[in-house]
Amino acid sequence: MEDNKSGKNNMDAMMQEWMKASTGFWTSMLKADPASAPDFVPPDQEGKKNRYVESMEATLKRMQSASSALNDPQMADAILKGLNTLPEFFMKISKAGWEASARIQGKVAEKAGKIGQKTDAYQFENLDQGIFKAWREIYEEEFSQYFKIPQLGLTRYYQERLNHLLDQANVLRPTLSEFLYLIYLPMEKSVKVFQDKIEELSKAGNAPDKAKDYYNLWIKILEGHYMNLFKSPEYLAAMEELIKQMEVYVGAKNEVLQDLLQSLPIPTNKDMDNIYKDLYLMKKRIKVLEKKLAQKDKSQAA
Amino acid sequence: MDQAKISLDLILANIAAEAEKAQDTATKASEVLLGPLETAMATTPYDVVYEEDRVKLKHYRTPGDVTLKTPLLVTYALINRETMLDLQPDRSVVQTFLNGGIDLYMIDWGYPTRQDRFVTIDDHINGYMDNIVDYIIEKTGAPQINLMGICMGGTFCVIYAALHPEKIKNLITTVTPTNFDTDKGLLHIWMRAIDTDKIIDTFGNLPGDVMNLGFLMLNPARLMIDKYVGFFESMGSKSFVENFVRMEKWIFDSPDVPGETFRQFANDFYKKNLLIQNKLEIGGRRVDLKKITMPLLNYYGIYDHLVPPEACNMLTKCVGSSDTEDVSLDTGHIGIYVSSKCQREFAPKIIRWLRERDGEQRPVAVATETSGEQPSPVPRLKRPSHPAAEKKPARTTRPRPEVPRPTRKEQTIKPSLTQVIQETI
Repeated sequence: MEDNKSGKNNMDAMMQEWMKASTGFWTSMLKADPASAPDFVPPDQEGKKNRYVESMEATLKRMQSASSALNDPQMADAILKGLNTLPEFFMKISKAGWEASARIQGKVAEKAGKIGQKTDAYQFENLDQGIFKAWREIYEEEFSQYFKIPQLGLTRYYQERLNHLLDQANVLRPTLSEFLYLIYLPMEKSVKVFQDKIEELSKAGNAPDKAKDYYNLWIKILEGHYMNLFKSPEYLAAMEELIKQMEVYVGAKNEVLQDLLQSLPIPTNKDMDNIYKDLYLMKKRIKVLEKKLAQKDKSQAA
Repeated sequence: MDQAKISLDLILANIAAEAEKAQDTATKASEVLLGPLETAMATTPYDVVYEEDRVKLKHYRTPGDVTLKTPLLVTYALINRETMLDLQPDRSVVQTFLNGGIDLYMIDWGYPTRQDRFVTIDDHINGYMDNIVDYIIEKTGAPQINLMGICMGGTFCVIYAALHPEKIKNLITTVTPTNFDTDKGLLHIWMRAIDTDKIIDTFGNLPGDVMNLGFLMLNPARLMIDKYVGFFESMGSKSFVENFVRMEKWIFDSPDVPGETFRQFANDFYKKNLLIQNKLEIGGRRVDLKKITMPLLNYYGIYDHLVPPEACNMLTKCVGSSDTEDVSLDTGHIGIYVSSKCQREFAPKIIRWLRERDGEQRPVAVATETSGEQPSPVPRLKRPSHPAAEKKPARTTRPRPEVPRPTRKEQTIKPSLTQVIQETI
C-alpha cells in the first residue's frame, strides 16, 4: 500500500518534470528560430505581429496550462487512471483470442477422439462440421464486433468499407475451408471403403491382379461417394453458404476498389454499368425505330 | 486373421509388365506431344452473312447442290460454343448436313462482355433470333425456315416457335430442357439452391470459368481425375491426343452468359418451371406451347447428366403439333453430336426427317396473344403473318406422315460413364 502511494508520487513528480522540460525546450527552440524573431515581419505585413510567433506562443501557452493542470494531483490521477484502462482493453482482446483458441483446441481434440471410428460407405449424414461452426460462432461473438465499431470523421465511410472487407475476408476463409473439407471427404471415405473391399476380395481369392483394375474399383467408389455427397443437404447448405459469402466478399472488395479508383482517372464498374445500361436502352429504341421506318418505307413503296 | 489369397509373384510380375508398358507409352507420347498436332476446330468453310452487336450468322458453303428447299437455322446454347457441331472433319454434324444437301445457317452468339449484362432472353429471341430469321427468309425467298436448337438454344427455339410459328416449317430440339421440375440432374438441384440474383448483382455476367468449374464439380471423379488418367494411358496415340485436345479446347472455350439472361433462365425456368406450364412471358407475351403446330423432332440422351431425359421428354406431349417424335440415344449430353456411334444415327436421321417434310406447305397458327398485364418495355413490331396462316385454321390437324417411328429402346446394360466419355473423346 505504502509502495503504491510512493510509486504514484514518483509518477506525478516525473510527469511534472517532463512537462517543464518539454515546455522549456520548445521555448528555447522558438527563440533560436530566426523566422520567429519578434522583430521579423514580412515586408507586406508591416505593423502586424509575426503569425508564426503568434502560433508558437499559443501552443506554448496551451502546453504551460496543461502542465499546470497536471500539477494538480486530482487531474494527474484521472489521466493515469485513463492510461491504466488501456492495458485492460488490450487484455480483453487477448482474452477473447485465448478463449477462442482453447475452444478450437477442444473441438480438435474431440475430433481427434473420433479418428478410427467406423466410416459408413456412401453416408454423409451428421457430418462433423462442428469445428467450422465453432470457429464461425467464436468469430461472430468475439472478433467481428471490432470491425463493426462505428467509424467517425471525414473518412468514416472509407474506413467502414475497408473494415467490412476485412471482416468479410475473415468470414469467407472458414466457409471456404468447410467447403473444401466436404469436397475432400469422399476421397477420405473412398480410400477406407476401397481398403475394406480389397480385403473382402482377397479373402474370397478374387483380388484383381492388375493395377488398372484396382484403380477402376477405387474411381467407381469415389464417384459414388461424390454423387451421394452432392445430393446431401449438408453439401447444398455449404455450397449455398460459400456462394453467399463469396458474393458479399466480392461486393465488399469492389466497393473498396471503387474508392481507390475514384482517386485515379479510371472509370469504375458502377460508372461503366450506368453507361452500358443507357447504351443498351438506346440501342433497343433505335432498333425498334429502324424497323418501323423500314416497314413504313416498304408500305410506301408498295 | 485370414490370410490374403494373392500371389506375390503374380503381383510383382504384373508390376514389371505394366512398368514396361508405361515406359513404352511415355516414349511414344514424347514423340506425339513434341511433334506437330492437328487440333484445329470448326474448319468447314463459311461466310458471316449477318452481324448484330456481338452476334454473327454463319452461312456454310455447300460442297454440292442444295437439295432441301427449306434452309436450316441452328441455334446453339449461350453456354460453350457452336464449334462443337464441327469439332473435327470426320465427326462433324455440320459436314453431314451439308453433304445431305441442307442450306445451313448457324448462329454464333459471340463472347458477351460486361456491356451485354442487361441483354435479356427477350432480346435474344425476339431481337437477334427474329432478325436473323427475317434475314434468311428475305435472302432465300423461302416462306419459312427449319429451326434446330441445342440445349439452351433449343429452349430458345421452342419459345421462338411458339411466338412466331408462322416463320417455322419444322422444329428440331436436341438435348433441350423444357421441364425443369426434376431432381434427376444435379444441375437442377444446384440451380434451385443458389441465389442467382445475388450472383448476377455481384458479377454482372455469369463468368464462363465459374460455370465450367460448376460443370466439373458435377462429377469430379470422372471429369477431373479419370479423364486425365485415360489421357495419360493413351497419349502415345496421335489421333487420340488430337481428339482429346480438340475436346479440351472446346470444353474450356466458355463465354460468359449475359447477367439478365441468366437471371431469368435460373428464376423462370429452373426455379419456377414456367415454360412447360405455359406461364412463361417473354417480352410481355405469354409463351403458349400449343402454338407449336409445326412438326417436332425431339432428341435427347438417356445418360445425359446435365439435361436428363425427364427434362426433355415432356415437350412433345405439350405442344399443339400432332406430328411429333421423341428419339432417345444411348449417350450423354455431348455424345449425341460427337460420338462416332451417334454420328451414324443423329444427323442422317435429321436429314431424312426434314426431307420427308420439305415439300408440303403447312397451315400455321399465328401467335398474336399478349398477356395484357405486362406490356413489353419496347413496342414490338407486328409482323405480317404468312399468307397461309390467314386462310387456314390456327390448329393443324395434319395427319401423321408415314414415317417409321423408332420405338424407345429398353436399356438393358447401362454403359459406364468411362465408356461414354471414351466414346465421346
